[in-house]
Amino acid sequence: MGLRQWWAERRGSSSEDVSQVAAAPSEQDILAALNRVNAMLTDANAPPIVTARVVRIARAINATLPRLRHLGLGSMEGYSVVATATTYLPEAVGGYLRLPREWADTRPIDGYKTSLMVLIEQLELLASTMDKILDAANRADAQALLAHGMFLEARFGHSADGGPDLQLGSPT
Amino acid sequence: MSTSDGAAAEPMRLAPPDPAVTLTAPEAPAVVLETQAPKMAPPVAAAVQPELDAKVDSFMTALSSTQAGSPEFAAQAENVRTMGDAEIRRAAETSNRMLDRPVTALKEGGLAEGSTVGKTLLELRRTVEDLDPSQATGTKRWLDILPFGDKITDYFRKYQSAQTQLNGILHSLRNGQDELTKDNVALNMEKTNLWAVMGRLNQYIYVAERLDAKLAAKIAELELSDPETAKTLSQDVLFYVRQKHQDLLTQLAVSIQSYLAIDIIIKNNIELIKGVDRASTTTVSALRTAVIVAQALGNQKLVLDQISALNTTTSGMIQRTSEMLKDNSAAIQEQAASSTIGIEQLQAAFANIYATMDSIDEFKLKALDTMSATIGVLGHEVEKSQSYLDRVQQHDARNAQGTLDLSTQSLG
Repeated sequence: MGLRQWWAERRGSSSEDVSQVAAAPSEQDILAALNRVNAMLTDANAPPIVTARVVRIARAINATLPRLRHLGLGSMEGYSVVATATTYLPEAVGGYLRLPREWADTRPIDGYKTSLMVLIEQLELLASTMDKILDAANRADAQALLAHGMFLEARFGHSADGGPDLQLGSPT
Repeated sequence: MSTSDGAAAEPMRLAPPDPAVTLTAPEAPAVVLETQAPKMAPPVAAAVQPELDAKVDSFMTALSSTQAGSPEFAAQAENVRTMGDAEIRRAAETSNRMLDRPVTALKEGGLAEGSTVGKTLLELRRTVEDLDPSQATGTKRWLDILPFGDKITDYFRKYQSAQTQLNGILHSLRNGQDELTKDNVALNMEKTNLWAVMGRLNQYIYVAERLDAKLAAKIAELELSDPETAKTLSQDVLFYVRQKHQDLLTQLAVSIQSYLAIDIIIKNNIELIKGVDRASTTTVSALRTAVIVAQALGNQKLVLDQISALNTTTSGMIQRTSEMLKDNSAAIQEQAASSTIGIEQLQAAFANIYATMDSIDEFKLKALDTMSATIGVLGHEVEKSQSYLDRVQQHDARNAQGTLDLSTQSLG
């Protein structure tokens, strides 16, 4: 293997390294996706109750973005935020906007619920999930503070509540 | 907060990796016999039975009030022939769609090589093989004698170039999971449809059984007094009632078979979702291990934007602890580092990824086997019902709503 591999590495083995998997969406992609949803809503003159909820979700995602890295690689929460911006939200909104407005707002499709009510339910679920993730991300940040406290405690504060200590009183 | 002596070191300890996940492919469903079908399908509710009985009774009354051989009699007989045709057709359409499903699942679903999940897993394997720590320790090669720099440093440098790709792979795996979940939602809706159709078929079967019994009794009664009418009844009505009964039973058996096939696909998808989840977690855990090993071995800070971020607390702790230890005694530091984590742990973490991917491959093979068995059985059943369907289609041209068609209210 030796030489051949070495040679392949020097050449960058370009023929093999063509990745079939697209890179994960970047922060720019996420913001662009949110802007697209916003444009969709403006173009279609969506009802305010829809717009208000989408704005709430977009705000939560915006606030989570800088912390996305702290959620870690491959974390379910991180993926949920990205997928909400790039897929879940556009699909929910798009599914509603494709329908004739009058029909979507009045005709029950699931029990007594109209398409509009179904969409609102989906948006509510997304919004509460995004809020939860933002909270968890903040909590992770706070965890670092806690850990530092534990370190300081371990370094300097041995006898605070660790049982009866063996320290002798100061020599007289 | 506790101040016990382990407090500072606690976050540093990584949990030992679990043994590889086992994915079990569901067994292929057995062939559903027509005689078993009515017992397996949703039963006819007791509340509906009087309504169905009334239908049979009114048919019998209408039949006895018409003279055998008259056009009215023929119309009544026709009602038997067209009974439940719409339901049979709907059930057949669903079964045919279902027959496509497993075939599509084989070709394009998560199990297929060409699917998103399949491709991504392949890509993951390639990327992971590229990072395999055995390259950092492996047997000495002649090239190693040459001063080509620190091998360990070189090895860990690879992670930096791989992280964008790994991030993409992990994202794509989650995407694949989403697709599988969506697939399962659609399949569950199909199952609900099929359940309703099977309930209706079972109601028709109940009606056909009742008709059969009543007609047979009537024919026996007439045989002595009016053999001619008895013969006409037997040939023009009872014959078709029994034929219809058979049609309904066959279609019900096929529907049950499709129902079971859907279950298999759903279970396969769930297993695959589990496998993909496991592949993601083992990969991430190997990367975490790599970050820590890099520090422990070479005191080299492996800066991976995304990976180290998830570990800020942990790696920060390790660094601070090791710096502290270094201040005290280099020997202690060496001992602490080598006893807790080393290249062996990294190798174990990688072995975990390989084991997971192998078990996914193994599962795929088994699942593909079951799937083809399922398709075989379902295909055979659908074919059997085809002759009945052809007959139904012939009736289609002159199909008027017969009096024996059940109203939509009695569904359920």
